[in-house]
Order: sequence, then C-alpha cells, then structure tokens
Amino acid sequence: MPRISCSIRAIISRRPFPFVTFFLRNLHIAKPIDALVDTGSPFTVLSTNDIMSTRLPISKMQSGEIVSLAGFRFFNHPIKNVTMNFRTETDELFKVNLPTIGSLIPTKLDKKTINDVKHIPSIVGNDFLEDQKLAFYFNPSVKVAYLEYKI
Amino acid sequence: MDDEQVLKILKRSEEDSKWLSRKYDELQSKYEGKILAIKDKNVICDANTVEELLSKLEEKGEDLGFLLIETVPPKNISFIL
Repeated sequence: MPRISCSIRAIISRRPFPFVTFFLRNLHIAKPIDALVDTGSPFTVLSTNDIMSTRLPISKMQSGEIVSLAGFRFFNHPIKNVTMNFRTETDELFKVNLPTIGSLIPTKLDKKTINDVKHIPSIVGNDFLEDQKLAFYFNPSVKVAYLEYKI
Repeated sequence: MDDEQVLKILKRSEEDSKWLSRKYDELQSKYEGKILAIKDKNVICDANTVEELLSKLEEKGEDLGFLLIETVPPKNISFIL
C-alpha cells in the first residue's frame, strides 16, 4: 500500500507531533504547506498564517461557520476548487481535488489576535482521512508516522 | 505547472520540513516566536509578522510557491488544539 511519510516535530512541550507536507493549488494559490495531522480534529483547515502568506485578503474572508480552536474564534471560510498534492514514498503524486477547503480567519483581525494565532498550524483532520480512505500510523516513541492508502 | 514540477517542489519541501524537525531545538532557541521562510535546509528569512516576512522575501526576489513558511512558538507557550 502506498505511503505518504510524515515528519515528527516537538513543537510544544517537547512532545512529538506528526506533520505532513502537501502542495496546495487553486486559481490563486500554489504553495507547499506543512500541516499537523490531527485525528482529533473534525475539520481540515488552512492556518491564518498560511492563508496570509498567499496574500489573499483575509479582511474580505470573514464568512463561514464559526469554529473555536485553541481558545480563539475563527470563521471557517471555504476556499473553492483546490487540489492537495502529496508525494508518496515511491515518488508518485497522490492528488485530491476538493470542492472546498476551510481556512481559519480570526473573527477579530486586530494585530494582537493575528499575532496570538500565528502559531496555530494548518490541520489535516479526520474528515480528510475518512473521505480519502487514508489510514494513519503514528508511533511517537520511535518518531515514525505516515499516511497509507489502498490502490 | 506540471506534475513533475509539483513532485520536485514537494520533495524539496519535505526535506526542508524534516530538516526543521531535526533542528527544532536549536532553531527554537534562535528564532523563538518568529515566522520563518525555509529553502534548501536553510532559514532564508525570519520576521515577527507574515507581512514583514513577505516584504523581506519580495526584496530578495524569492518565489513563495517554492518556500515552506513555518512558525516557531515560544518555549513557554502551550495550547491544546
């Protein structure tokens, strides 16, 4: 079964967290993104930082369902017609076309809030794993993690 | 951009991501609280805000489509997602 390898990073409290890298594309975006694989998250979302680094105007993106994350409130603003490209361990592309992907747009756009949320990463959630029929292996003690799919 | 180019960018970005993960302790001490642009296993730019980072990258003539943008949370921060 093809695998997509993840990197393990001790971002908080020296605990290992699994990250997966993908290349996001749509009409206005073409960039690599590192996302936390979070099976506890029902949503797959792009972080405020990742959205801002595409130069999309976040002040015009304050719409969508309200979600609460890490003590902050965000609009889960849908970005349309995206393709997420992953690289397998056998150097092939695993492409996922989505009608929309969520983006975390803070409900408050003042400087303090933007600064406070800048460390919240993009997230690949269990919606994505289920929809794409991906299994997730994570062994933090030996720092191994990967996504796996059946052909 | 064709699939070959996407694969090439992805391979480089994955290597950069793994490099960041390996060097995280060292980089966190140096760049605590910052936003970093990483290319070819190097921090090519750091800033306190995305706007500042984008402006610096523009001056350097860097293409954002090829760079990994990462943040380094302060050591004393802890949050549950």
